[in-house]
Amino acid sequence: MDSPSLSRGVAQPGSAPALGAGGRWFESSRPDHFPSSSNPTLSLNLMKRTLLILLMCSHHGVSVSLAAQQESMTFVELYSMARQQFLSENYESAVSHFSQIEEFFAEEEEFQEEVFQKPYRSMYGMSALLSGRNEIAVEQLENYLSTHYQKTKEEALLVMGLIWALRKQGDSGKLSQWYDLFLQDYPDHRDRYLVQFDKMVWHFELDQDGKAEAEFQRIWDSIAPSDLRYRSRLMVIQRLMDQGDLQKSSDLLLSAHWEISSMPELAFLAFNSLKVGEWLMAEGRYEEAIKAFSKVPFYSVLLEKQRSQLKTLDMGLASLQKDDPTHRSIIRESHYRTVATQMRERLKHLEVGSDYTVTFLLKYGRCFLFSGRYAEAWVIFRSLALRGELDALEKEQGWYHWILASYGAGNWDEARSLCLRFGELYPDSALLPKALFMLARTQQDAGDLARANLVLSDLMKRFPVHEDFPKWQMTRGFNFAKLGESGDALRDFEEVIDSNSVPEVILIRTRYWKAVTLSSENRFIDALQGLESLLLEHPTHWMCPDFLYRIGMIHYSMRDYERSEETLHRYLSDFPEHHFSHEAKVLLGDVSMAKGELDRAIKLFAEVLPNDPKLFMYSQFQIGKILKATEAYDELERHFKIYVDDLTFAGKARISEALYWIAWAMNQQDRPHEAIPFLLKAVRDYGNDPHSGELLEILDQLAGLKKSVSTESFANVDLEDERVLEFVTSTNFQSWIELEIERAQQISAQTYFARLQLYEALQLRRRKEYDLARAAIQNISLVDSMEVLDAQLLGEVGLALLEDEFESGERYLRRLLVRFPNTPHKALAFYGLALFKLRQDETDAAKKWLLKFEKETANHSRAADAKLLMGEVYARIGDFEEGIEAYRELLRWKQARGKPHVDALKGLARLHQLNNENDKAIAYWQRVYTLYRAYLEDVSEAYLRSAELFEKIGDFRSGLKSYDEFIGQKDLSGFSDYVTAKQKRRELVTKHPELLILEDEHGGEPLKEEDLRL
Amino acid sequence: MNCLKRLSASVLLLGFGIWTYGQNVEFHQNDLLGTLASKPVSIMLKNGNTFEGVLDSFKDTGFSISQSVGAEGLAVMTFVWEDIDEVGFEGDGLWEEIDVSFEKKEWKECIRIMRVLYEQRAPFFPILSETEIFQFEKLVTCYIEIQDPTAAMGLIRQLESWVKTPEYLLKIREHGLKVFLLSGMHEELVKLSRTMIYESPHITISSFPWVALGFQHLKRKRYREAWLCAIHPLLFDQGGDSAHISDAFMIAQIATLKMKEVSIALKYYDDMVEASVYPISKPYQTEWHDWWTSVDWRSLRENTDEIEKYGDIESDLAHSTDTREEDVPVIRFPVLQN
Repeated sequence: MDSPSLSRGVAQPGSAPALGAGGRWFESSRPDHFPSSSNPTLSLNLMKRTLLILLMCSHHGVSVSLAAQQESMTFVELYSMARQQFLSENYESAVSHFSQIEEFFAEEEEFQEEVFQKPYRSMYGMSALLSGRNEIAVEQLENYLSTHYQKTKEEALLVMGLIWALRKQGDSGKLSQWYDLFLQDYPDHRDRYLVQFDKMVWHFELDQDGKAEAEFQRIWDSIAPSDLRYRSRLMVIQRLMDQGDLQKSSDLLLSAHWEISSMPELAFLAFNSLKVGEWLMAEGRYEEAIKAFSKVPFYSVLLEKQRSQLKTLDMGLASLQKDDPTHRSIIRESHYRTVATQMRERLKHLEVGSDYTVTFLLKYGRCFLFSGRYAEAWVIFRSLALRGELDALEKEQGWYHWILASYGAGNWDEARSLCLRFGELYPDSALLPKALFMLARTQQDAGDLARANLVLSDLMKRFPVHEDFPKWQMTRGFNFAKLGESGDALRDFEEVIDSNSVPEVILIRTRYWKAVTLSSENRFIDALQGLESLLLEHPTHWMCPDFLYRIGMIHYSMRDYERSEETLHRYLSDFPEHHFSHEAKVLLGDVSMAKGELDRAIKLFAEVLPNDPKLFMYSQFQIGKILKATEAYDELERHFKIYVDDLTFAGKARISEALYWIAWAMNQQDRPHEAIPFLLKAVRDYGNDPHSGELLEILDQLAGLKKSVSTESFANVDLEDERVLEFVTSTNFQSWIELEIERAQQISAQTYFARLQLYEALQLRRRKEYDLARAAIQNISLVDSMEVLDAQLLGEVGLALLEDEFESGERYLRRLLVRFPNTPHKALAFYGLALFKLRQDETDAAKKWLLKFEKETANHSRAADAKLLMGEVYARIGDFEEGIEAYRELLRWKQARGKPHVDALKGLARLHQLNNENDKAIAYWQRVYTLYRAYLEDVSEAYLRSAELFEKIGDFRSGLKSYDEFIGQKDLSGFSDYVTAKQKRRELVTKHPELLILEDEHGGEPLKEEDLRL
Repeated sequence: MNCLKRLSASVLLLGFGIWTYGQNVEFHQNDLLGTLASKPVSIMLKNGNTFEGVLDSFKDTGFSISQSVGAEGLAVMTFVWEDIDEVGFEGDGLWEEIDVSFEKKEWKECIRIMRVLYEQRAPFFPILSETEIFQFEKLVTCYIEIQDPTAAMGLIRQLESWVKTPEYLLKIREHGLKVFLLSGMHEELVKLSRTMIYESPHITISSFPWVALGFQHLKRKRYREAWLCAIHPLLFDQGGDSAHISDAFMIAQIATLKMKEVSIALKYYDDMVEASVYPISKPYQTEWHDWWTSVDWRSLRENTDEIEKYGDIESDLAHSTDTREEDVPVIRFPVLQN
């Protein structure tokens, strides 16, 4: 310290410029300062590398006096040797030398001096630690730290050394204080978090889980390196799982955002996630299970990553050792060595374990399936089903679940085709009956009950002794009942009831549905008996409320109002929240009404709330009915005015009907002069607003009033309103409409104009003047912009244009779908676009639009047209089975009787003909001319086609008979088919003259010459 | 094959950007004007001898360099590829400049420098290491960024004929998909995606083919297929490229919005936020990114009827159809036989 010119360097705390991480450079000329080091450069390098040595050397350098050296050469020599051994990493030898110093010189004054004690104890302790002599290490380091400890960075290593030695020794008693001291005094030390992690592990080892978790939380909340934070979290998760606390472990797993790419122990995370996922799945917590499973990689990927991570860690360790010959990173190194050992261990387990990928994917996929995330399930199960290398059972499972996913997503067609393929691929699969039943359910859910029953029938035929047979039969019966085929339904239900060993759950439901079906057939006594016995036998069954409600309904139908009321009261008081409770309240209103208790009925109907719009509206109109019946016209008027004006009821409909009743009530109160202006005001207010509806219905009401109210009734009324005057004085409603059209054009009220045009067109349509109607509608397209048209107008105009092959119609229909996505008039767009696509030969697109029609607007007035078009689409595609089913379904619709049924029969005939089933085709043509005589043009065609087909199949006699029958009907002579038939008959008999003879022989009437003339 | 490679190299000298998809050959005269290309290269032969000279010509068997002799003399030395141990170029320091510009997204500047280096080195591809050749992958990125699919594809074709290392090849093929997306080449995109999917041992190698297929389906309004493709990276690509994951999230959200599956779209949005991956605009998906950013998620969550703003009226038409394997390939997860 005296002279800066001297060349030997030693470091000393608190002096000279800083050197790296805490070291300081001190120059001294005194040779005793570095007795064993002849090379100052080496000393410098050493100092730079190891702070520990710097520390010890510095202590030595400033403390041992020359006198002491001279007097105690042996002591100095021995110390020098010990120190040399330490520096040369011969720790065992160093320990031996250091212990000799204590043995021989412990009594020496110099030995006792603090300046000697400090380097001596620290070197001795560290040598002992590094040579595995933990007991000595603890003794020396503790001795040092308890006597000489100063809060310096250099001494941090000694504290870590002591902690390490105590951990190795298994001495837990004193550890806590040293951990705390280190963490408190060295918050910024680079190994601070490793020590903290070690403390957490130590707590776990002592079963001090609370303390360990607290330590974990501190690490987690800190800025510790992410691998350490995640590892500590994983360790806690593992511990919790070992203790069976899966709830807490799953919370910890799922609440962290795991950085998979930087996870040092992927296998550890994967296994824990798998275990947590399985537990959550068993708990039915599928969304959370998905989150857990999402951290599980494929088996081979995990193997690959684990190997690569281990390799990286090994390389890191090697480099740590290389860069740290003095073991300053002893804790760090030890920590990662432990990690590497654990990883190696896990890798070994992984390598000898079996590939979990398939079983994992099945579980993962099921979680998606059960949580309604069908697309993800679809992807997973499809990959399993189509994976060639898997064994048959695994693929079968994949297939089955793939069907479930497709079914769940509502992809009926796909689910159906998957089911069929599943049956082909796995005809002996135990899952096949389930798959087929699901197929039936698919059809059922798609609203295709008839086809569902075909599948069910096939299922019952293939597996007649299956345990689920009664369930299938019950479902088929239910579908029959819904289809209105009560006979078949009852037969199925009775067979289920009569068969042996039917599970009670099926039996009760079957008996219930049998009773409901009987009731729909007006067999009330049988139905009642069935339900009452069910109630008696199963008084606590979950379907009891249904039994009661149905009994109440049947009593009502049987006009036994007292019993109906009694039952419904019992139902409502016992099961106030049941799903039929709203209906029951309405029914009670109906019962009171039927009993003539009208005030009570009104009260009951008034209690029905708008949260069920359909029942609410029904109740409101029932009230109206009562008020009308009691001639309370003023109340009727008020009641419907409130209904119309109520803006809070969002799902309100039947407004025009309400307006009609208001106007009607006014009329009844001798105020027709108010009724008409009232409706005209509605027309004026809403007529030109594209977003208001039901104008056409209001016009209908006005048309009715125009007929029923004479001009004279306005004789005494001062008609100030010019428009009312016009209405009253116009000769008829039609002329008023024409006036209004003119006015609308004058004032450019384009929406109103278009609506009036449409009204006219619809009148024309009613009069079956279709061409004029279409032309009137097409006139609407002359408005300035599509934007003035409401939903119905867009639909009608678009469709009318397309029907006349104007492609611009498509634009109207698409605009309708964009502007009014929720309107029921979108049915017109679906149908029109299907028509358009079919014309363009895009059968697939046409089919899709029609499927949309069926799905979203099945009850629209164009439903029959859509179904017929669907039959045509299938015919074009060549899917005869589907086409036939489409036409058959239409034939089951009572509301489509008449022309649509004729067209369906014609469609069926054509399809069978295309399918070379000529006998069936003939049968359908025959049905047309025998059942639908009113449709002359169709009858003509049917005669001609059946005759042609008879010829085709070589039954010339029947052919001739058909021609003759046709030609014999003079009312058909105006159709071109009639002429063709004559021509064909002539050709037939020319070719086969024997037919005429045979005809005579068989008593047929001989044809006259003129019949053979064209 | 070698012959083909060398011929490719000679084509390169005339100007890269040659694209064999029926497009006109693009000739960049300026490419020949780089100064580096005329600087001498140093050649070390396997026998230890070294030479220096300016590239004179090259062909499939070797090349010639010329050296000035005296005032006007010129010595031309010809070598065969097999005899060459090493070749040294000037201009290695430019890579640092390129890195800086690349970081700053100064694509045109990167291109300007890299093209000079490319011209200088491309003739020597037969003896350069794959690592050296693969450095020019950055140039492909730059072309894609400036939306020049022709130049990008020309370079891709060249690079892929020299690179065999799976990781490099994968990256180059990913660029190929981006170029197909940029230029709307559906058939080629589907073909390359399927090749990549079926040749890859597992999806974590690269999920970009699924993303590319997803974008392609969106373009063709095949929303269900787009959605199903996007699901693959979301399900199986753990720790993969986060840009691909965010794109997959975006595709899933767009597809489900178009299909009016509002709750599912919101779920993907929430999952994306939870995973902290957000799509950023890239040249090959800009239109979708723009569309996606126009979605007001908060408002949609509050009023799900707003889905009508985003839905496609024809979206659910695809619901009832079978999904074709060529539209949504079947993922081949690795299964080890124990």
